[in-house]
Amino acid sequence: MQNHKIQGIVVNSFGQPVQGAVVYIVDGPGSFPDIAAVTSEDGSFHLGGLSKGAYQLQITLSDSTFTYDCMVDDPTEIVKIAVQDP
Amino acid sequence: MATKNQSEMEEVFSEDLLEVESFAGTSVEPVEEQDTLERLPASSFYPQLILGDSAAAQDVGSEAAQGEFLRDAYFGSYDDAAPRAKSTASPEVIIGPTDDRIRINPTTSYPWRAICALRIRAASGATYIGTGWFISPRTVMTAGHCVFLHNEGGWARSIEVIPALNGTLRPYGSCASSTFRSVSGWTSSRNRNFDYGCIILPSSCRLGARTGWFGFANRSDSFLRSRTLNLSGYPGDKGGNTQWYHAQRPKSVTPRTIVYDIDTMGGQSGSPVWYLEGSNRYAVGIHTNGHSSGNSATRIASDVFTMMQSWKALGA
Repeated sequence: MQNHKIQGIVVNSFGQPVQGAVVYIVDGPGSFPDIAAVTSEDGSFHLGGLSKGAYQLQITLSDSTFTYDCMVDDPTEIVKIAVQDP
Repeated sequence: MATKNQSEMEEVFSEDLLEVESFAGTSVEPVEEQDTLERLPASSFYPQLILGDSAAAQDVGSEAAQGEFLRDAYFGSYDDAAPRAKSTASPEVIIGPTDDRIRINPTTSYPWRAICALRIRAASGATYIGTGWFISPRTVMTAGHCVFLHNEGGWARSIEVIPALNGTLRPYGSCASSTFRSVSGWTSSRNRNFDYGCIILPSSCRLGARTGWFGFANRSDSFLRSRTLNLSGYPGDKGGNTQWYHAQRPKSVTPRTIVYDIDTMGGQSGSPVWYLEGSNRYAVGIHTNGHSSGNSATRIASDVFTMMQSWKALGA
């Protein structure tokens, strides 16, 4: 069932929320929606329509791109991603 | 032998041409008939080798629900020590060892100008980026999950449509809309096979009349397998503000989907998947999904074609 989701927050190296980062999936256990989330003022984002399994996310911020690996086991997988300031 | 071949060709053609809806657009540059690859703007980079059921299809639409932004309850539940994301020197590519996408620059010639960056404001207040394309002056086709977001309260609150966005340049301006259409197969059943929808722009905003629009067609399996399919949209790894293109023949075709190795990234949901015939462009799919073993589009099957005809009329 593709009813799992990743709920997350992107923070900088000081732990402060990062607004405007583009977050999207680049690999996963099955087919996934090819939409990209944009982090809000509090750094939060959601990516839904997923099945269980290992995912690789990318976070693009200005001209920098970061990767983040996570395992989705629960219907709502919560992640916190720290990126270096560009 | 020649007669037999001719007969077979004619027979195939008569089966191939199932349903076709006209396009409207002109090419600034002449288009040569060489397979179905698009001719790119001069400044774009060329690599060395350019090379359902009726219930589920029920039309549903909504003026976007209004609501205040709700801070997520999970916000305070994170651990203090967040794992550090790895910096990626060059963007990952979903399929294959190399990134074959080509930037479209400028974006003001047809068909590129008929492709739009989307800024999606969900009912929850969350923001997403996607891609859409005109099929009439006010009808913008896209993925169902760009207009109806199951995890974000359903219908989007509003979507800004920006044709031919190119960095900071908006050569045709933009319009926001809160009028959307999809089908119950997506909104109620969340069935990937029915993941398609559209945005109807306000009557005062006929951007498609300036950009032109794509035709669309319901074509046979054998036809689709034999043609190079083009895809262009606004990927998130490029910031979502520049248009990128790639083309390949499909890997496989099912009654409801088209699977291909065309490189895409998050943000390209809703992109047109089209073939070129002379100077005519006909969409045959709506790009929706990524997968390391093959990205895919919702195929413009007969019921999808019929629905798109009605949506086209809504935005005429």
